Amino acid sequence: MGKYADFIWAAYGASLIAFAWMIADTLVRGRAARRALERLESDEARR
Amino acid sequence: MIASLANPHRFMTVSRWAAPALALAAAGLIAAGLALGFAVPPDYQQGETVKIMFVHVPAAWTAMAAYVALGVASFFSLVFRHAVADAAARACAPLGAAFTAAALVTGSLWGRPMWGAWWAWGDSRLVSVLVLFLLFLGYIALRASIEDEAKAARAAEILALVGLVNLPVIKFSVDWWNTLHQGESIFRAGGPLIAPVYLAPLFLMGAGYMAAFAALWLVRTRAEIRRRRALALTLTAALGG
Repeated sequence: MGKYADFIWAAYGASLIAFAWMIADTLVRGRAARRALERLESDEARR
Repeated sequence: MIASLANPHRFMTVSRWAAPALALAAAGLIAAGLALGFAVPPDYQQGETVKIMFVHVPAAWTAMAAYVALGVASFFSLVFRHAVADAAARACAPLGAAFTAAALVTGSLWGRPMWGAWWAWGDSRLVSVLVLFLLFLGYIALRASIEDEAKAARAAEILALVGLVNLPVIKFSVDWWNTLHQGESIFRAGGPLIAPVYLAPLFLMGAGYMAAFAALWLVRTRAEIRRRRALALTLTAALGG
């Protein structure tokens, strides 16, 4: 990777961190929203 | 097509298969782009640091595309009171901020070996992309700071639409002012200035980043629609309905 290998790997590492955050945050929010709605809809069905 | 997706039920039906399909496409495109990108020869001027282009440029492209998405969604929400559009706008901003941050960080890591500087306040391209990042953060902060969701949405949508003026500034900054950042070298009248061997991985990564943004955006919009539905059910239950 040459004498600037640290910069290249840091750039790919930063990109990976950005993607990891986006994917994790998105999946966590999606799961929480789905479970909260399922709970409320089942409560409403019971009423 | 946009009008047909205004119906939340239809949007949820379409996005249920579209999001995983886009995610798979993104994974394949990025894998192919990385495989080709790591195999390219060093550039005659930049050496191996040319490989940073394959993460920096796609991030910048996607950041700008995300802001266009935010602006379009905000327009449809503000003018047509399009509920799914408002959910989409709110879902889009954090992703746009993340891609912009990635573009700024990777750009800085590319600039240090190439220009000898991590940052240059006098560079219009760098500063206008920083403004883009701040616009995304400002949108998120504005929505979070006003308790009334409808008022928060209106205020943030106006900010998003005003911020659209920054996009041509970013695009043409390298033409209008003297900058450290290189001029337009891909989408230009005389054809790309970049060697073809670098274009294939660049376009694969660009397409992969866009597909990833689209997949994540759909999933976040679905979560936002569910959050609003849950809020409505909670209010109904509280009112004894």
